[in-house]
Amino acid sequence: MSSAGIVPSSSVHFAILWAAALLVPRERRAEWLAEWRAELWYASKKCGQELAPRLGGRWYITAFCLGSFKDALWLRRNAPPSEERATLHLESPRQCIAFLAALAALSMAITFLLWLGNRDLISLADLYHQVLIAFPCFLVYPSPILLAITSLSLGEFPAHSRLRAWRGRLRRGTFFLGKVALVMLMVFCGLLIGAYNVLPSILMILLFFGMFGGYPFALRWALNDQRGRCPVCLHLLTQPVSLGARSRCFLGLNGTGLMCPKGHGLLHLPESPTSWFGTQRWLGLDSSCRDLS
Amino acid sequence: MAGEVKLSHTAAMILQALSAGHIYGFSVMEVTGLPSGTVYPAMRRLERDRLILSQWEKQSIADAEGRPPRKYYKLTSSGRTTLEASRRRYPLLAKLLPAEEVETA
Repeated sequence: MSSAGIVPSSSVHFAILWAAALLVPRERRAEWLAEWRAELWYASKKCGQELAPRLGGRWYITAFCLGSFKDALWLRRNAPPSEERATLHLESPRQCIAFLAALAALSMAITFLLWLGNRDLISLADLYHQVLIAFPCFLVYPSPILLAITSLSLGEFPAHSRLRAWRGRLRRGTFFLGKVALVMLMVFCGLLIGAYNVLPSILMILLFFGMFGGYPFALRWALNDQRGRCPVCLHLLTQPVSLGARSRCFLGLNGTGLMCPKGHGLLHLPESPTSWFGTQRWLGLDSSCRDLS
Repeated sequence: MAGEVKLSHTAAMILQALSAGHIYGFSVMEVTGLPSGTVYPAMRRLERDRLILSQWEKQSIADAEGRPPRKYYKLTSSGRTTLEASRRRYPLLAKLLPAEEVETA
């Protein structure tokens, strides 16, 4: 679908279409862009002729191009799920920690490079001093926000479960603290970048508020991720199924059931907490049930 | 029961415009006065619901005229049935956009 002839449009209009095209699913992007470019050609031609005085000429074309974002978003929302779509594979605890560690290393590298460029303004001692003061505050301040946006409970386990053994607890605790530490490190590096005015002022303010606002939400992600994992192998739970009915929540469980991909057990999540089912509950399965997964 | 599909006034206007021979997205915009951000997603929806079909015109035709090839839309049989039902629902539709063949692919 190559466009022929001289296209009477500016590069700004093409840039708008290219930007919108990024929202379109990859498999439909080329055709979508060809259609919009062809339509732009006609719209520009028409505008150059009789429409220019009536519709505002160039601005009309710009508005026409901006409409492509709504079209692209519609396609994005309504596209059938593609098997080729890239997804993050964080199912196993190792993959999760490796991914977070890579992000943390990247943010540290960016912070260090930016600091290197501003060495004259910020001394190493100054940086160390700031970190020493800021870090304890950084540990304390999100607690009230975190309490407001999520529950701190990690769920209930059966009383005589092997999950209560210290080794299992240590493993789960290490994994959770590792996630929290890496998330904190990333946010802290972002804050350092902003706090030392390395970026232009408006961007710095945005970054600052983004980080302070984003930090409790990052911790909430860490908690939710932990709750959505098998307490035995720490793999993400799969195969969610809806259980019960909302109108019968006093008679039986109304919520979601998830399964460990390695068959260690089932997790029951209540849709709305009740006095008899206040938080998620783990049901361990013995080895005879492994074939079910 | 395609005939019982109820369309919004905007979608019905687009169908009517296509039926009147305005077979390109920009032509539909011009004749209905709707913005591009409304017309194109609406046409995708209509296409998804199999009320219209899209097709690219031949490259050779476009090359001969020194312009890029365009994608044109036409009504399917269920689209025509739905349009008939919409005309009964919105009696002014036919008066707003009188049916006449103005463009051909």
